[in-house]
Amino acid sequence: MTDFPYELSDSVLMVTLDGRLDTNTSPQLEKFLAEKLETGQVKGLVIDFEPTEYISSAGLRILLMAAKKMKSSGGKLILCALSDHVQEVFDIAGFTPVFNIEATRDLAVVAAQN
Amino acid sequence: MFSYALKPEIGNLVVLVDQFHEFCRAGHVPETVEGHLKLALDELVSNTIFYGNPDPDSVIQISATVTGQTMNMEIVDFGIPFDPFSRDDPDTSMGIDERKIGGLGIYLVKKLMDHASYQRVDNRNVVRLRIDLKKDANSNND
Repeated sequence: MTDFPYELSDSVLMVTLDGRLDTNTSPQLEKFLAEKLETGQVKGLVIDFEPTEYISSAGLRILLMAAKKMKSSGGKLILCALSDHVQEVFDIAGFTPVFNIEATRDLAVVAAQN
Repeated sequence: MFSYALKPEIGNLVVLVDQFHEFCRAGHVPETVEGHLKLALDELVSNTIFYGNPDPDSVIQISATVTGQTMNMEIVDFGIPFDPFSRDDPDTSMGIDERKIGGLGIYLVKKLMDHASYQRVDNRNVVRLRIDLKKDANSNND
């Protein structure tokens, strides 16, 4: 079972995607994010891909949904620490130009706060 | 050689990917290539389970072999004739609001693999994939 360790500080929610983001785990992430975002306390969302094993289109769908939600609430979504695999998937899917991506978690947190 | 058969239930993908991970680790398959192949397994097997109308008592068979610097994979099911690669490629240039995700998974498989083909053989759907294991090292040297 994939775990979503998270931290909420100064209205920035930091979620770490530990494991796989695929057909099986994406519905869990969808539910998790929906619960966190509906509180209205999240102004910035950082998703950390550092320990992510792989992402498939089911996971991309959730990211797109999260981006739309953050956009409509005037918040920011920042992704960070993409592995070569995740980066290549993003490039092919055309996600790289439409998402805010930072190299490290620290940079992502700064970007989410501003 | 990797060989695994699963009943067409989505929860079974977890064990398939676990087993494939062990195979890749034993063969020192680069992480990036392993990620691409796991994506391909997830997209193709879930596609078969959701749309291929497989008999619940049938199995989906996955096999993979490494020859030199190449991995060849075969995914076989006994569902209705279904060519996953026949669909039009999605538009990947849309912004966040207009973007649709349909068809993206199979498009990713086509682009990430060096070869991807479909063949109907008797009562089976046969998908063949090939990927160069050195992809990882090459892209790092860019």
